[in-house]
Amino acid sequence: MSSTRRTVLVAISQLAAVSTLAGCGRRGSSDAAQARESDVELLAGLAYDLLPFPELSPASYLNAAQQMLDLDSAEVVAGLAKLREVSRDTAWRELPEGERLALLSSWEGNSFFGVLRANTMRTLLRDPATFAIVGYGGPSIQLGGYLSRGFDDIDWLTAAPRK
Amino acid sequence: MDTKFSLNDSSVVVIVGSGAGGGTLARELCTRGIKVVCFEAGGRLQLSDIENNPPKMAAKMNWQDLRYGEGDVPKLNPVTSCKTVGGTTTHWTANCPRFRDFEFAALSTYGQLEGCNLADWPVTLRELSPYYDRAESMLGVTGTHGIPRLPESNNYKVMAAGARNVGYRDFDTYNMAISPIPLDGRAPCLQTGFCSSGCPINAKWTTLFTHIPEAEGTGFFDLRPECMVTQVITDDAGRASGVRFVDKAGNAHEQKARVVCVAGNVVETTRLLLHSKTANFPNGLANRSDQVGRNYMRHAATVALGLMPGEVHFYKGTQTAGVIRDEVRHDTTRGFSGGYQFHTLSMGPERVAAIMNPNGWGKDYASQLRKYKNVAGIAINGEDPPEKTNRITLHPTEKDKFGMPVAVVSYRFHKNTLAMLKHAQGRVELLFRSLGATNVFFATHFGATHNMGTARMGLNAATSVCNKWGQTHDIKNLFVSDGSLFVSSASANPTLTIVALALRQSEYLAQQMRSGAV
Repeated sequence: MSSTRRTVLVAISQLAAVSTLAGCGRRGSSDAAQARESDVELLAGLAYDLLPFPELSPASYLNAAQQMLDLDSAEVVAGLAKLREVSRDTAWRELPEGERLALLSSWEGNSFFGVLRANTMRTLLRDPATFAIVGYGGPSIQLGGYLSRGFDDIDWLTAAPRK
Repeated sequence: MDTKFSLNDSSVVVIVGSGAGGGTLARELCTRGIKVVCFEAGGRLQLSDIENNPPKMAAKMNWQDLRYGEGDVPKLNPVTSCKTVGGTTTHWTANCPRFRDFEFAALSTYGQLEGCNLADWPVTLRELSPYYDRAESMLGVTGTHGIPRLPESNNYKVMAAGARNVGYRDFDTYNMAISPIPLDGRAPCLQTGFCSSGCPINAKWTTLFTHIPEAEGTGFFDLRPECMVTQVITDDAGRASGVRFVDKAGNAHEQKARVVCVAGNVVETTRLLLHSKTANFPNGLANRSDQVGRNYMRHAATVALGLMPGEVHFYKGTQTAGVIRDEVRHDTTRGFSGGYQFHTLSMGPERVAAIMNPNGWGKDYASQLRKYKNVAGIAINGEDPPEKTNRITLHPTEKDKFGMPVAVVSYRFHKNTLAMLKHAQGRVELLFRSLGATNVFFATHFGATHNMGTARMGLNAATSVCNKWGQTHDIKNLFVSDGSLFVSSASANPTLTIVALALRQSEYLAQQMRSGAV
């Protein structure tokens, strides 16, 4: 596994632990908290493999995971259980990259994967933290639009057609 | 409930819908001293409610209620239309081409295409010209009435450079109801780039901030937002006598009317006419021809994205301010009838990702998305021949919260459309690749924002729903005032034509009321 990926997945799991523990005191049950932490961490790890931007803060992947859990979907719950079964209860970040990607590829086309992929893309691509990564300016009216911020500054178009 | 005009006031004109058709008609009637009650299913936004956030604005403006799609359209959300004061003029991107003269004479020009239900409009370009002229003035359309066109954005410059390369000559930044100079109290365009989510500075024309307040200023206008009309009521003599509606609190009421004008956009207009059936009108109101809901058209349409060799940042600027008109002509040597236009189109990363690959994921996908800044966009908009089998019907069992049957939108591409799209996609590929594009992506299945034809006009009551004024053949005081009237789709975006028809209809209706004919 590349060091960048491992670093990201470890960071995700650490942040998952911190944020879930913070909520655990209010809810009171440490078993439920651990289960939730591991769901959040798993979904966040999956989200990272679905759309890997190493420079994106782990918080964005955790947010995507949270959104997925908030769907309260029986399909997501069942899918996660199946995934744990297939990965022999090893934490997602501990699986070799090749195995993780092979697992994901084998799930392509099934509806759990579809829900995972669609929700991950929707959440991450609406997250302002990804805008700079893809080169999107985002909301602009607060800065006066793009009239004086490069809306017509293209400089590589030449007169003649390229071969 | 609190109303300006009494529910029992049978002298009012009821208008269902406050968009391009309903809002324009309301303004015209009210400025002639005619009392109007305008029902709008949605709420009323203030300018401060509009933000540069497409998903949030869609939640505020769009019809979210269930509609099914069948055939070559999404299964859910086959149509994108708005439920808000201003209707779809809150969402539109303000393109204002006129129809060409041959597009009004679709049957005479193309002949009857196989399996189609083509007809000529009962109106010519010459007859509609004075109304187009007035509509262009009211909307402040650039390139008309001395109004300067918008400046050229990066995305436009890409399309224009490609257009030159492939030999096109008729292209510019389009006839837009968005202006680079202040007009009629509207702000000049700041190239914000979120036109389809509402313009937060009111640079884009919408009935919400023009015709609706103008109507209110006359004192003859009673706007009832968050009121859903569920039935047009007819009496034993076969006349429309009013409407049944449900208010915000969920209570049903009846409003009497002298005249009823339906302008709910194609899906709701169809649903209302069909659902209002009675023993006298067992097939739905104004439907002796059996054409209500049929002849549904949404344009031959495709969206293209080109991955260019340099940065474009196509999100910077007015979303569709650019057009190539060279293919708007009838020329069967291309392999199809009717014409199409190219126009620039921009969108955010979420939609770009879905078009590049609706099932994509992983490292390669992420790398591809990093090239978002290199993406240029073009949309195709072409003649869509009407077929009886392309239609909007009522679901046999499923109903909405008002007890009205859910709409089913059935639509399949005609082979003329497939041939046109193939040609258009080939031209776009040439255009983008002449500039060094490495990939070109296409999408053809999406919710349509141009919806037309389901209560069409015609001279023959056996094959049309309305006469040349939009007055239904079967019920003298029942009118249709939106894009349902269209007989052909043409290659033109529909709003300007809807406004022109509403201006013309209002003259006729006012005169009919004055003379007591209606």
